[in-house]
Amino acid sequence: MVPFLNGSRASYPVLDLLQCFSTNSSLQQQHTFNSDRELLLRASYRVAYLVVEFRGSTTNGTALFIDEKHLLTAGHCFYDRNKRTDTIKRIRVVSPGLPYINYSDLENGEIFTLDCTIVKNLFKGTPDPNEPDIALLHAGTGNGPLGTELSADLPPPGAVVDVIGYPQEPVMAWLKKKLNNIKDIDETIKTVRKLLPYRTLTISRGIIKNIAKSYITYQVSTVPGMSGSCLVYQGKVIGIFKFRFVLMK
Amino acid sequence: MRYLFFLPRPEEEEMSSDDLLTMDTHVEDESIVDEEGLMVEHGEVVGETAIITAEKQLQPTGGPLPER
Repeated sequence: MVPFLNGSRASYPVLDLLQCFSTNSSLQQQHTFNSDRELLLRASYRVAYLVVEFRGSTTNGTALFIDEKHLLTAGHCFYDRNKRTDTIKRIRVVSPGLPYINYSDLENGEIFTLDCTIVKNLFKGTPDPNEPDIALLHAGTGNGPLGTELSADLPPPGAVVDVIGYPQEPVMAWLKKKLNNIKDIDETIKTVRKLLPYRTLTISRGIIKNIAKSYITYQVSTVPGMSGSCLVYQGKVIGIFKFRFVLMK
Repeated sequence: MRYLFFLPRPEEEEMSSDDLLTMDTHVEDESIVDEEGLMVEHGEVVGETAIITAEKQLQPTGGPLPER
């Protein structure tokens, strides 16, 4: 049995599904990125690093240009640690498709950014796992790249999907919470940094586990910062990453 | 000195956020939704991942995932 650790979210049905993972043979196929290279690159050019500045704190995530003026991201990115949204000072996205975000350059205004406003945030901050965690942003007077192709076509369970986003470096406390049975925390940190290098445009590939009414359960390695990443199936974006993917339909 | 005067061993304190800032990692603001997770195989984190380079190439950083 291969556990997929989700910390305190043990009540979520996804855990039951993931416990069945060892019986699923779909991972036996060898995955490579080569066959999907062009499709993944095309999608990645629309992926942008999201910076939400609150009074007293900053949150980073990932957003996706769906047309020149609009982006999709996870709605919870706009809630501060006290579950407030009225403390937002500024919302920006970095030029999409940037391979690496140098934070000093970002802080010093040496990277191109677009100021955004929230058009609609469907996330209300409730603990209801069925609440859609998705928000629409407007890029103001700026122009992003032409949008990516969205699709409401559902992948079958076992389908190979990709998450494209900007990981943040997970802190020790987060790793300890998520990986309570890990052998060596130092080696784990090295591994995570290698797999999901922080502030680097990254693809994480995995398997669809199940399709529910409005979300998909998955088996993909992700870390904080990837909220709002897009889920790509056969070259089309079919969802926005939260934990379970919020579908486009 | 602690042993000389039979002083009790000081309690080990948990690391604070400030401590973490001085280490080779950093603290990000907590999100109200903490849903990300990592796949674990035999006690080790696994994943099939790649980064997108400045040359617009996909450079694998991990995987493929182990066979089940």
